[in-house]
Amino acid sequence: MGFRKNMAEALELPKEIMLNLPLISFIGREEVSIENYKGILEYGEETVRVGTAVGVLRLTGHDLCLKQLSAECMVVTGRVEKLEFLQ
Amino acid sequence: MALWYYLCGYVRIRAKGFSAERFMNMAAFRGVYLWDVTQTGATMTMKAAGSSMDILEACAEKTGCTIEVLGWGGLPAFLGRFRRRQVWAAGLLLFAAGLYLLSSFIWMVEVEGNERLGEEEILSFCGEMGLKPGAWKRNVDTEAITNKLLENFSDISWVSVGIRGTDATVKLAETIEKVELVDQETPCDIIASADGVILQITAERGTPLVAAGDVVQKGDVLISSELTIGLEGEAQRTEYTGAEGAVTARIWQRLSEEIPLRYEEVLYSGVEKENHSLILSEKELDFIHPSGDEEWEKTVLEETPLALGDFTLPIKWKKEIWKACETVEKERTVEEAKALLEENLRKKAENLLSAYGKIENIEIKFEEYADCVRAEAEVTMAERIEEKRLRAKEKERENADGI
Repeated sequence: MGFRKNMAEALELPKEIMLNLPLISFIGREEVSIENYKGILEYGEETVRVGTAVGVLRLTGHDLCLKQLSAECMVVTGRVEKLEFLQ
Repeated sequence: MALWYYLCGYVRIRAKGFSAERFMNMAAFRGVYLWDVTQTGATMTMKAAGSSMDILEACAEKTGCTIEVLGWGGLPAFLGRFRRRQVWAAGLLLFAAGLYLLSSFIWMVEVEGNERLGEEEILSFCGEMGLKPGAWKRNVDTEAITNKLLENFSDISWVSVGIRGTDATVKLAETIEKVELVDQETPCDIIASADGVILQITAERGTPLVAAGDVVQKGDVLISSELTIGLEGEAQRTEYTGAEGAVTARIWQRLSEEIPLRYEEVLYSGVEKENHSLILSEKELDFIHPSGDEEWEKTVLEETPLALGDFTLPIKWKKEIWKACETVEKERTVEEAKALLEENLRKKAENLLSAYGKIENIEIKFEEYADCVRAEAEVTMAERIEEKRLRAKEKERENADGI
């Protein structure tokens, strides 16, 4: 892991691919896209829990809706209030 | 992405069960794209590509969920709805084909930018070259027409033939008009254009051959182009010039006219009605028109071609004014006829005059017949009679006579 991290940093390679980390991007507070996730653990209008390589990610908000879901990427829309890493 | 799935077709499903999330994970892992996932209570509705239904069913079985198809969407489903409406689809195709077919003809040809050249002239020339209403658009060679137009009309300095939609436009620019130069060098004589008695002669250039009071015939040389240079008694030589001058002569002209004593006059009753009709290429369709036993005098007010956007249809909307009238037979007296004849003849004579001419006298003789009056007028007028003739042409004529 350490070696990969050093190499990714030295060669300026994208870390989410080298280290298999999730890439989370926000558009304002109404859209969150999570790339490189492992799976959905819980899905509801108030809470979405997503498993990633660095732990469970919990999104809290109102009217959450899963806009897209594919093997690489998921997009959640709604009014996001919190984003936490559990564990 | 969403557009792609719309085109390929999608299915709306409802997943029920304890672990709907596991079902979704499995489906996503197996490469099924899911979108618009909404949770309603214990069930989830989502959309997925229509072709992935098998995978979805397998996933549902493995995760212990039940899935229910709510509906099919997208373009295939949309088109599927029309499967039973074959005539409708045929009509749609027919309409598209008709539109394509009709738009591959030229409906209108317009000429822009002509000032001196007549539009008719250019249009008829274009028509000969194949650019006319009703021509197949693909057969029109705009480049060839452009070149031919430039070749045939020396007054055109630039021309472009463009086809936009079903309208063809010939845009052109005319050359600057040539200034007419008075040719002073080419030898020419001034000759008489009519028989008469010379009243006045003014020679600007050349030798006058006649004087006031002389009787001349049509074709006589009035001012000669021959100039004799040198004093009398010395060696003289002859030079030729373009003769110029004004010659006024008294000329006579005979005019005659005849008018019948019985004539028809149109009387308007004052009733006017508007009439509309459709013109389909040549045929006129007039469904509703003013009725009545009266005769109607029709005046066309306007003809509006109907158009659909760029497509000008071969249908015209005609608007007419119909005036009620009556034809009445009338008789006039001999005196009235004579007065009318005199007036008409005077007008006729005035029309004959040039800008310099003047009527000196009109003598009218009337002949009365049973049903008409005939008038013969002898008009005496002072008129310019000079006319130019090239000396070379005269020589030719002389030569021809000699042979």
